[in-house]
Amino acid sequence: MSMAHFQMALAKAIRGQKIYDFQYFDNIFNSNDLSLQEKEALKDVFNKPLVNAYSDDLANIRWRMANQLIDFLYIFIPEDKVKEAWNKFDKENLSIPEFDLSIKFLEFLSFNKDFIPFIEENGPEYLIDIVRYLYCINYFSDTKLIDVFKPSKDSLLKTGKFKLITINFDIRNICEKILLNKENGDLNYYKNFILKKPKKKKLNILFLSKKPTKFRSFEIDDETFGFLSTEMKNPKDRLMPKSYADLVNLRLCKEL
Amino acid sequence: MPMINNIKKNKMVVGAGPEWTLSLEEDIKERIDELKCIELIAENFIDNPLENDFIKKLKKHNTPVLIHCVGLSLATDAPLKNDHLKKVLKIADKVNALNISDHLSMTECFGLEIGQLTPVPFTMECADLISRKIEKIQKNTKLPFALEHVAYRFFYSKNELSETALINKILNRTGCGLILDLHNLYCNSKNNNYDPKNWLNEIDLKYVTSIHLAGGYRSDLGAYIDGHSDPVPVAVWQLLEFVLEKITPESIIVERTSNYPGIDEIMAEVIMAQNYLDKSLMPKTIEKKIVHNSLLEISL
Repeated sequence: MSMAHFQMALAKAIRGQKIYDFQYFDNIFNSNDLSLQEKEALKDVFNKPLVNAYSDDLANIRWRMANQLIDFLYIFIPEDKVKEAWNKFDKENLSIPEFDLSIKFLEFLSFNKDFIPFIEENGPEYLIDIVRYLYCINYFSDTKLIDVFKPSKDSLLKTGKFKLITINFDIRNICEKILLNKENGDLNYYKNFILKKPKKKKLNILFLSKKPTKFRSFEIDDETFGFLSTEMKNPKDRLMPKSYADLVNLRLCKEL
Repeated sequence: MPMINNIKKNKMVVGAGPEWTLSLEEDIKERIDELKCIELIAENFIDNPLENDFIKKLKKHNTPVLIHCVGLSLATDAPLKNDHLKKVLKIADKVNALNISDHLSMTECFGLEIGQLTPVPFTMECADLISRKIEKIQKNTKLPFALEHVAYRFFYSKNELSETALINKILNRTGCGLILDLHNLYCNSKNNNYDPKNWLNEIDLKYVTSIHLAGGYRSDLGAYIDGHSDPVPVAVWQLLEFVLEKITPESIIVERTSNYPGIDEIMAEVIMAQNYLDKSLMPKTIEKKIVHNSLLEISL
């Protein structure tokens, strides 16, 4: 079959069709517009559909992308429970891009009490806020937070529960919470996180709005903590008074 | 000896701009002085008197315009569509056109409109067919011509060449420019599970005249679609950064032609692209932090 003839067959087959879904190819061979010769030519030439439904490769890629941050969850939740939740979530949410997977999955988990019992105690927003915080640090800081947490995971698990120290910045209903454990000395892992940037004496803290795509980081000096809200118009309103920092135990971290 | 009359060794950098859409048009009129360039799909302006005013406005402000086509259907095994080319060049004459371009694809076949950018087989026959058409286009205009690769909906089983080898053959033979569409590359790499940086390392980047950025979505069955419908993904910005370490294009175009989010969001991405471009022109001692700060600024 000549190129021109083949192209004509192809044009007849695909005009107006959405040709990125694999079952489309069944439509070609059921079409009344094509001769048998044309159908055979098309069948012979096509390799495979664009995405062969939900392939194992795609599944693995998505799991790896989500897992970079989900690993943090294993501190609180057995791994098999997380994977069980993931399997359910993933197949029902293929349209979510990979870079949004972690946050969306955590939102899914936070409203599913079967998977996160302690959310009942602390509220669903808690987990979302922490992971958004960690997500942004992970993305924008020189230190990969997961690399910091992973070595400490076993020691953290051995200690049992974490004591939560909550910072309530009641600025237009946005709160920041930091996970620390004072009693067992595991603040060392947080200290190590700070000291991972040996040349800097500044602590880069990210402040998050409700929407995961909007955020701002603010470099601060040793005496001033700055938190910027994307909802504050006046730059002066964006800065947090130092007295709040006293409540927060960040100062305690710095003193270690 | 290949004709390299279209490659500017010392390229003038124009800057970043949006792609025209009807939704954008009213809003962009208010901000036309901000535009370093804009890309028009030529077919939207051919035989369309309703768009004369906008064309005149662009001319008045001397806004650099990239004339981008979808209708030349370069891969169709038929003579070059001379009538269509004449109409495209007529549009180009009305504005400060920088170049004209079309795609490595087929959109029409012997009068039958396909309605989408149909992929081509990676064969010597295809390379020859497209190269001959580009050479004819180049003889008909002094404007540089550029070729854009597409997001593939399917692949042919009997390819003689790789995609990059096909493109390089056409570029080397004709000397035309390349529109490097990083979102098309991203889509193809996602859907076929390969590293887009390997593709970029194979392509002859010196021919790149323009870079396209866009965002898309996943279909219900998991295919990643070049929808021009969403913000540019982080991974595509990272590919841009990767490419700008090697070459500097004349322009970067942000394509948001559906799901119009408002002019502010589109221009925010244009500004971000401009920041990346400006940074690539700086001495290499400047830290990458500038780009990250730009990312944070724009996200507000």
